[in-house]
Amino acid sequence: MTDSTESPDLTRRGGLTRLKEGTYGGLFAACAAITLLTTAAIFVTLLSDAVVFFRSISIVEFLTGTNWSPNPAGGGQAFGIIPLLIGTLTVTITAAFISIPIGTLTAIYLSEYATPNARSILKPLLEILAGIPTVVYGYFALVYVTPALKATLFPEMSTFNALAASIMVGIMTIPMVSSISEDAMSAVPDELRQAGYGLGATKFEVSTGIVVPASISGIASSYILAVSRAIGETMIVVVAMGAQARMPEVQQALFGIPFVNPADVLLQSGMTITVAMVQITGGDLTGGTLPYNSMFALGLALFAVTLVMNVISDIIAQRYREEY
Amino acid sequence: MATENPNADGFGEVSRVRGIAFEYLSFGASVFGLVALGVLLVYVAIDAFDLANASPEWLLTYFLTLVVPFIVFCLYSANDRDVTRRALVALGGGLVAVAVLFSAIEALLVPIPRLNWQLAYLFVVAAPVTAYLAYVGSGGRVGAVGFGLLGRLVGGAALGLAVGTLFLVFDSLVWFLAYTLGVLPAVGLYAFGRVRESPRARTAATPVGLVGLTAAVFLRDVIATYPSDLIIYLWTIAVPVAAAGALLVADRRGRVAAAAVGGVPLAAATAGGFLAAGAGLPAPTVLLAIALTGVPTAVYVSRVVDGGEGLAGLGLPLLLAAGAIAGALIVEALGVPAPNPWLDASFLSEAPSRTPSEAGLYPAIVGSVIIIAMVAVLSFALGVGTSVFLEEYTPGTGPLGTLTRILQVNIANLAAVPSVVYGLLGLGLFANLLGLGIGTAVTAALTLSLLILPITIISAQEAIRSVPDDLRRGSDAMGATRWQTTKNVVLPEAMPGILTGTILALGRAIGETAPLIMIGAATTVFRAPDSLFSRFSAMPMQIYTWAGFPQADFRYGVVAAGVITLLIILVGMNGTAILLRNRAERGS
Amino acid sequence: MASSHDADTAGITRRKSLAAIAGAGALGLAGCTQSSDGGDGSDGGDGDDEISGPINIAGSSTVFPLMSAVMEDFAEEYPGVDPDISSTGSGGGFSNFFCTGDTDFNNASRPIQPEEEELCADNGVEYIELIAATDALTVVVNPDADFVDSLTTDELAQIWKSDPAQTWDEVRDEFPNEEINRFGAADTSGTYDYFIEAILEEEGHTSDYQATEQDNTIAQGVAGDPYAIGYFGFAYYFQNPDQLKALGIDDGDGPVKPSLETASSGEYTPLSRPLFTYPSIESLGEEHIAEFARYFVEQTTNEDLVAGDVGYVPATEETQEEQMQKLEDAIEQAQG
Repeated sequence: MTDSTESPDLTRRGGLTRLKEGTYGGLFAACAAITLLTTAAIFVTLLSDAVVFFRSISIVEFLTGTNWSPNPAGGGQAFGIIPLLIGTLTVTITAAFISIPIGTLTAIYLSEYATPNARSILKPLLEILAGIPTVVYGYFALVYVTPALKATLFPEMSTFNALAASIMVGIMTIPMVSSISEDAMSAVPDELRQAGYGLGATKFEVSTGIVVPASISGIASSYILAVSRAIGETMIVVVAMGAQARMPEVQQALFGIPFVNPADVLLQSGMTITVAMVQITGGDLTGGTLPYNSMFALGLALFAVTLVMNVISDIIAQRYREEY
Repeated sequence: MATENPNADGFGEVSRVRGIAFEYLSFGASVFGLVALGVLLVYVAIDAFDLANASPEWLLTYFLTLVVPFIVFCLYSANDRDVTRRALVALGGGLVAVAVLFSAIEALLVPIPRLNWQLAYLFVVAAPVTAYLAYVGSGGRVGAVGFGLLGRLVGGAALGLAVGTLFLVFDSLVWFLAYTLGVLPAVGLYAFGRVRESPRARTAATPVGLVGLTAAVFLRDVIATYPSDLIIYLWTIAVPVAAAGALLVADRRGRVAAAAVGGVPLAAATAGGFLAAGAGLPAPTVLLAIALTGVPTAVYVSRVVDGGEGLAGLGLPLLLAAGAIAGALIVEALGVPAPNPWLDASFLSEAPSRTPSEAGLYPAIVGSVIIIAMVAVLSFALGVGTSVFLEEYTPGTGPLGTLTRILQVNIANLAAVPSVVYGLLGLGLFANLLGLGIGTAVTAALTLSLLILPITIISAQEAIRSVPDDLRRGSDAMGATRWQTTKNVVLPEAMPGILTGTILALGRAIGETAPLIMIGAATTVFRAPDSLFSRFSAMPMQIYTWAGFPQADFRYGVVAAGVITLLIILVGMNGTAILLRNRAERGS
Repeated sequence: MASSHDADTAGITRRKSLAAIAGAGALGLAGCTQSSDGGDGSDGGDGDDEISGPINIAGSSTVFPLMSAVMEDFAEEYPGVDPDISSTGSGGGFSNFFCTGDTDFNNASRPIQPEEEELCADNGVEYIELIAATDALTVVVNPDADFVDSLTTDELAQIWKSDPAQTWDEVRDEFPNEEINRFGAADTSGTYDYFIEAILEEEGHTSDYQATEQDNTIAQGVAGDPYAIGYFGFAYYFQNPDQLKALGIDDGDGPVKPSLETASSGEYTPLSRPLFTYPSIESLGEEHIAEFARYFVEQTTNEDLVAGDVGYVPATEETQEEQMQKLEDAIEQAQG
């Protein structure tokens, strides 16, 4: 890379050359500045409308309310984010149940078992999973996956449900887990593996006992990125999950421990933060003010969550990275 | 490794069961997603092409006229007895296996909806085997020629259609003036400078071009009469492309060949354009498609003929065309009931409709193409600028180094911001604050450019980083300035990588829906947009709209056709990116 | 020597690509100037009888199918016009599109609200209200639910109010002691608002129901459960009358079943609701938009289109005449 020290001036450079150099440098810096401006613009856009919203609805009420009902007509307008968070968490956790084990196993297979040939075919193919437009995944979930699940496993499933949407989100995020984890595993030096074999470990033991622990920081940050992608996913849930902000029914079990039947949440429709935002742009609510501004408050919440997760993932990757 | 051997005496026994089970488990996991997606794609294809209603006779006819000749071609090209034997075993054994297995499942377990064993065979056995054989066949010279020719035909036609589409929005009259006054003189001067070794002429090229472009913009409304669109495209695109093709050939094969390579497609394009005008078809687009298909094809054919190897491969397009025609004739003659696909020519060329059988995607396709073209220019320019700044202009340490680190973290964060939030940004910033209009093409393009910018930057940085430092040092040692090094050494080396990354990012942009909803893109438009400030719809937006229609024909037919169209365009774009990457890798 | 030659080749391609980018930029710029002039891309052709220009419409998703069907036919008849429609919801359409002057029409499944009137007035957007069609909200039960044929508005309110009856026998004694399963419109839809306004008023809407935007979900839910009840727009029931049983609604004068006749005659109360479209008077000054508005009002009595294709209740001849008169006055005012 270039040094900060000036290279010796061997040719005579006129003012024109210097002007040219400066102009190009400035242009590139301006391009780079646009990325900073984008972040600032996102903040300002979201904040300016969200502030108006928080003037009417306190932040505490917004964060702890258990009822989301932006329509003033339905007997009590309420802006509690909890039911939306439950919807978002349902999708995120269910999707993680698919993407994390499958993604990790895929990464292990690609880095430890696959022949170079198989890897060169599988890796780009897996990237396709992340490249399919999300509206297409949503359509798949609504039109193929839900009817298939209904016909086989869950006859009582509703047309719009969290399960089918979550499965699709999970499949979509597999490559996010697998590719970052695989990079981390491939970075583990071969000496460690050889040492393991030298001690009499089998390939399975080397893979799970040496390579995975050695690359755990990369693996963890891949999980966080995949989860953060699932949180922000919009079209799959808009198309396939329906739009009903619900608090799940809490049941009392044998020993008085409250629990929620997962089927209640997964087989029914639900509403995520992202769905609520799309819903508000497309609903028949009376124009302007509160519901419209609540969309920006939701956007801000979403932005904050993904930002925090990204920073955490960055810290994990930086701090706990094993240097070889 | 040795420890895995169960016969290793003296060390005790180590069970391999767990290890083997784990290997299969992890392999299963890595193909799980792909298999799931594959099954879904099969169903969507069946719906889009109405294959559930295809009679076995219909399938057999086209299998024999289209698929079998193609397989034979590939086998001939591969020229490997082993491959031939394996392919035949797979096709034959697969036929029996699928038929038996499918019938068994249907009889014993559950009926499989909208599939029959013939279709299952087609998708599970015939399609993968054909793809594999195409891969193997392309290794042989004949196959490489055949696929190269096919690629140029398809790619040229797609490019022609895309350029024609762009001129729906961009003013062809300004382009005409800009080309005549700016581009042509500038290129002429530059070429003159190169040939006559006159640096002055070369230096003058850029200012002359700029003056010409400016003049074009000003003269646009001053000049009253213009040639017809057909003449404009002929003069500004078809003729230069033909000339470029001819120049490419002239060096090696002389003037006659050059004249043929340039002249024949040009004549064909002109004739096609005027015939199309007579027949009421969009003449300029026909002209562009023929010119942009014909010239690369002619250049390629001339090069292959020159090389003298794999000539038989040139027959591949003919083979396929003949197969398709023969299939159609047989189906017609025997009166075989044919399926009625949702995805057909009228779906691609008509406006949306409330009647499923009349619904079309044309305005949305045009909307998508225009947006993507603008996003491509914007995100490429910004992405390259930013990555050059980060990689070439800022040091790793000191206060500037901290700035670089902040920029880097910021870019990573932007890449993780949900697309729906970008939609809010577009709504607040571009649509409302800057007044570019709600739901206009330009608002959408700016929003999507920002959305994919982080991805573009990250991939461009990787490409620039992979340029060996020796090259920079060499350039520096020759006294080049930083910009000269960047311009002459770094960017040309990194360009294939940058382009690949940009195209892949564009694939993301073309499928995004949530930001379009937020910025208020139109739910339905009946005409293709005709300016950057038109309200527009895009393919994913139209798919989303249709998916919400109550009629089953929309859900299972029209949307499926839209999905397949979108995916084909995506695969085309990604395929181009991968080809670029492979070519660059082979080159270096 | 060779290397400098290479650099030159590289130079030519880059300069070319720069020129191409500049060219694209210039073209883009030209595209802007043209559209801001309001001129049409193709020269010639203007000035004849052929009307041309864009028509931007936004608003209610309920009116969307009707309006887009009319637009489709209009676009086929007049190749010069370029109509587009966004399904933004009545409120979003008013506040983000119409009252800011971005659209020519706004569709609404309810009359314009005072806040929106104010917003339009602030921005100097004048408009008229046209009735697009009538929707008869239909209350449906399972076809096997023999116990119920009609409900009074009070009984309906008991089922749907914010503290609703849990079992059918709470609504009427002779009904079975079975749990009521409710399927209704999502709370962001105009259907939900109208149902509250017509039936529930102050009592509020229960949140203990399956809320959805899509009629077929409601239909499926009700068709699969003999003790379910649901409500939605008339369209779905009109097009699939055998799948579900529509209840008669007793507003004090005996039960009336929803049908084209009872809705347009005004017998089916209180669940018949008018659907509206609001053209901006300024836009009506443009000939192609005025022509479209006339065309639209003409089509409101077209039974094949309004009822057959879309599933709403067509307007009566008198309503149409009134609307046309109103429209012509506005056009005259606009075109002066």
